[in-house]
Amino acid sequence: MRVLVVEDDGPVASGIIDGLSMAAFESLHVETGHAALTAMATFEPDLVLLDLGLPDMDGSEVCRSIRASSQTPIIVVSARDDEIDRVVALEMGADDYVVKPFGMRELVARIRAVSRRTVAHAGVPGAGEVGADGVSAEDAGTTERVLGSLIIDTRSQRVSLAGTVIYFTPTEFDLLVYLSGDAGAVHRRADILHDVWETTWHGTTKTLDAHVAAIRKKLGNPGWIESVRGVGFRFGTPE
Amino acid sequence: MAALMGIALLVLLVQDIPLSGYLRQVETDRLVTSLERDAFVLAGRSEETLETTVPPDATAAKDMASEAAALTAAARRYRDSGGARVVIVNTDGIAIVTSDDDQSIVGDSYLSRPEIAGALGGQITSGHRYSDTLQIDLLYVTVPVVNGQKVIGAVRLTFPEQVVADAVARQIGVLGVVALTTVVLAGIVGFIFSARVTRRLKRLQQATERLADGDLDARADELSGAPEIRSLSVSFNRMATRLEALIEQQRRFAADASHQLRTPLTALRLRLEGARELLEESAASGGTGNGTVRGTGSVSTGAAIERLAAAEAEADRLGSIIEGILMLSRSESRAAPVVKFDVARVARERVEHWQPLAQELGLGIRYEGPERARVTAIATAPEQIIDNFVDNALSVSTSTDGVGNDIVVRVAAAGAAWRVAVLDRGPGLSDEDCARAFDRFWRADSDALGNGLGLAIVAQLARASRATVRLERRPGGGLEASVTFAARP
Repeated sequence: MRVLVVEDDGPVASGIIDGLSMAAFESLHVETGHAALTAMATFEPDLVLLDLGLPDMDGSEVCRSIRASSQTPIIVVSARDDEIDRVVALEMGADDYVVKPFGMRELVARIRAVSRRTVAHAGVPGAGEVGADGVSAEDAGTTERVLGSLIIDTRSQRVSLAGTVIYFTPTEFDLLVYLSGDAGAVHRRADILHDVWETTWHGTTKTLDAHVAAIRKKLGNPGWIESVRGVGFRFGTPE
Repeated sequence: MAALMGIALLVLLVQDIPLSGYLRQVETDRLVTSLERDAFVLAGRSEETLETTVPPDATAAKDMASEAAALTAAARRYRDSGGARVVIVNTDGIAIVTSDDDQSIVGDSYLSRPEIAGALGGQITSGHRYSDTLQIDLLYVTVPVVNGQKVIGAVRLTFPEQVVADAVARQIGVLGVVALTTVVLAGIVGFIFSARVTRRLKRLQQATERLADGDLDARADELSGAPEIRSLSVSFNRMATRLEALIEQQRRFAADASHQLRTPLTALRLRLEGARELLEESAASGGTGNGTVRGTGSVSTGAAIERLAAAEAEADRLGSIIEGILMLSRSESRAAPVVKFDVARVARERVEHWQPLAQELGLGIRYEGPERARVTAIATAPEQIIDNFVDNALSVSTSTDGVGNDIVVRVAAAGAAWRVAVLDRGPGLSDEDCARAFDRFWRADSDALGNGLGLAIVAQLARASRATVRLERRPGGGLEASVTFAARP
């Protein structure tokens, strides 16, 4: 999979490129909007990571220009997280919006999610194969995620444990889906908050713990979500 | 207005008190002068009577008697027309004529009176004297009656001092009426004027209060009112504009700085993460390498991974501080509308929300308070404030399997307002720290991972909700964090 990184900040760009190559993506870095539009033809990327603050033209303008000639998925990467910025970017044809600072794991997960989504729409097979880990259940074409006795249906937002339906609040459900999406991996607190709450500000430091505790209580076994001290949480199957 | 009248009164008193003394002097002088003139006239008239003290013959004696009678009549006329009492003496000081109706003193000697003696010596005298005979203060004028070079008698005019005093009092009375009128007029004018000024000042005060409450658009009316008020309004508006610009500048700076910091922070995070993952990979694939090198290598690799993870945690903390600053600068700039809340319901919900975590930590948390408590606050403020307080309470509380360490969320009426308090039995804070805890970047010693902005944001939310927040030490240990919301009108 080829990713075009449009980012004028050198260190951020090389960090992203480094991470992308570790995740086995092929990538090209350009620093300006014009270079990005040229690279669309020469590099033929499968996905564009677009920073909004470019030196030569506005990021949303680049977004619109790309969208005018191609359906290549675009993920906007921005330091601005005002709702208006998100809305403008999405209106201009962006497929997702990531706010700095982000971690590589989150970025890769989003790249996979976006390309999966657009591939499903476009009917092009094979693009989803890169992200084999953790999303296998959905790749099989179903919206159900089965983890031992726990079944999470992401479409109907239903969760059942050993055949009994359990009701979660929307936030709890999102958190459960997020954590169980990469079972066994440790999710960092900052990433979880950034991704599930979708706001960079989380009122208190213990908001996450409170929701995790609520999920554990509803699942009846604290073993489902294991705390990793000083880092975050790991989803496991207690059986 | 009262001040204006007071000033008018004071000015009048300061002016009138010396003025009355002056008036008395002027009145006295005026009287003395007119008495002197009258005395000379009478002296001229009495010359003939006094010339011949010893009548040469009967006709002359008769003439003399009739002349004396005419003089007496003139003296009485003079007295009756508002003049003074008249006594005319001959060279021996014997009273020849008086204006008295009772003529008994004619023939008495007046030589013992110093002014008579002085006048017979050729001097004009005037002054005050206490009369032993009449037992009153007298104002007198005595002039000699001169024929050629020879003093042939004296004319004395006396006035009771009271007459002067009365005249002065009359004039003072007139002055008093004028003064009183002035004071009353000053009062009326002052009232009208001050009412207008007060109205303008009230408006200016309202604008000031609005500005103080955080409404940076508050401006005063520059176009009406007295020139002083207008100029004050202009100054106020200049200050308000400058204040608005400064606050906006500060807010923008905080926002820009936070945004600018996000980019290098992203690079830092990606680098740390990349480094850690490289090490993790090499540690995982280390099994294929040389045995001895791997042995030492894996120990140091593990330690390096640990340190990188710690560095990432610090990068996260840096990120959380940046987000906190952004949050603060946003909440300062936005004048969020105040809406209605049932704070009792919010408190119950929050207790429910925190229940599972408290349980995991081996702590109890419960709600105490009424069914309903209607208050006004900005959106989400009650929830965020209570969450912050409970979060802090959970951080400091330790489980002892007893009931004593329970966290209590209590809603209670505080006058017309509702007070929400979160009580814990943690180690508490010193009074000094209680006062400083709402400052930005203040952190309790125990809170190594916090960003120091939680309570600052609480304070900001409370300010925007027109609520007040407090931390207090609890008797028996622990802390009571409270927020008092204005009751819904």
